[in-house]
Amino acid sequence: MIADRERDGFRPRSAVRHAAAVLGALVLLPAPVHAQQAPAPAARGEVRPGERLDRLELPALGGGQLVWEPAAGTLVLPGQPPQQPRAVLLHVFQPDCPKCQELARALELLRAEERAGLVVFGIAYRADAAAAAAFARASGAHYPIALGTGSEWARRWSGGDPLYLAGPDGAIAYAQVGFRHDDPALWREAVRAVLAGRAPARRTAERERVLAGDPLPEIALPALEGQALLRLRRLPDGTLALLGAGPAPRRARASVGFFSRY
Amino acid sequence: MVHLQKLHERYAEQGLLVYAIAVHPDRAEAIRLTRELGIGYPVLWGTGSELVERYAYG
Repeated sequence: MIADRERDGFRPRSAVRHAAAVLGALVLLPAPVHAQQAPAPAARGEVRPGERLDRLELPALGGGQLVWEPAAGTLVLPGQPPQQPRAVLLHVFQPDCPKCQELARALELLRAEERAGLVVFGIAYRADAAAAAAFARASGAHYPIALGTGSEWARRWSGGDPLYLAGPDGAIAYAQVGFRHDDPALWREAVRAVLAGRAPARRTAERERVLAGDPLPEIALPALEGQALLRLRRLPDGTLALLGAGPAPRRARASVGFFSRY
Repeated sequence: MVHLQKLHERYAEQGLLVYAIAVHPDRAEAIRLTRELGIGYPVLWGTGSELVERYAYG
């Protein structure tokens, strides 16, 4: 199921529909469910392209404060004079998130291209300074990183560990969650557009999502411990079965699966 | 994981299968954490898999 249903509606925290995207929950009932999807209600922290990011003032990794006044277009990075960037790429991340580390590597490559008017920085949350520093080392990120743990800013804007591209007024021109290797091409196009004063052609990255009514994706993975290959299958009688977890299939009437980063 | 452990304990006998797909840079650490949390439902190793690449992008 391709996520362009929501191409213009990036909503990292809109409850169940985004469980598959953020938490990665896979829920399956024995029989297919083709329920009509009601519009998701607005959820806490919901953000959409076009919204303006909030002012932030956070301690920076390595000392000093990072202050951004989106409404005024003013950004102060530690040890630097105030500037008025034409585009801001901002990655909000948890340092133990593998996808975030991949994203940071790609973001660093883009930052190194030194596009005039573009500023890249990150905000770490649910982590201390040591974890954020370890993240920067592991991912080779040399851009400024602010520490947002416990902040109202992170509470409101961190859902899904998003990447935001904002224009000079702080309005979100492009946003995405997660990372895929073809994403940087979207970022480059979006950055070029924002620097040129245009709206990007794409406002988010397409993602596949599992929604109510979709068939369960093929699941055949090794057990975390041991050598067994575990498979989740729908049997001819309509029941579910987990194969490989024991000598006999483990039958179920319903399942709840989720991706865990711990 | 812990909340779903409670769901597992309460409904497994009624036919609910709870499972997790671990996404962690370090498999040994994922095993340690899983044990520490007392997880009794199946945990699959998803890091690097196509399934994770497609769906677990958050």
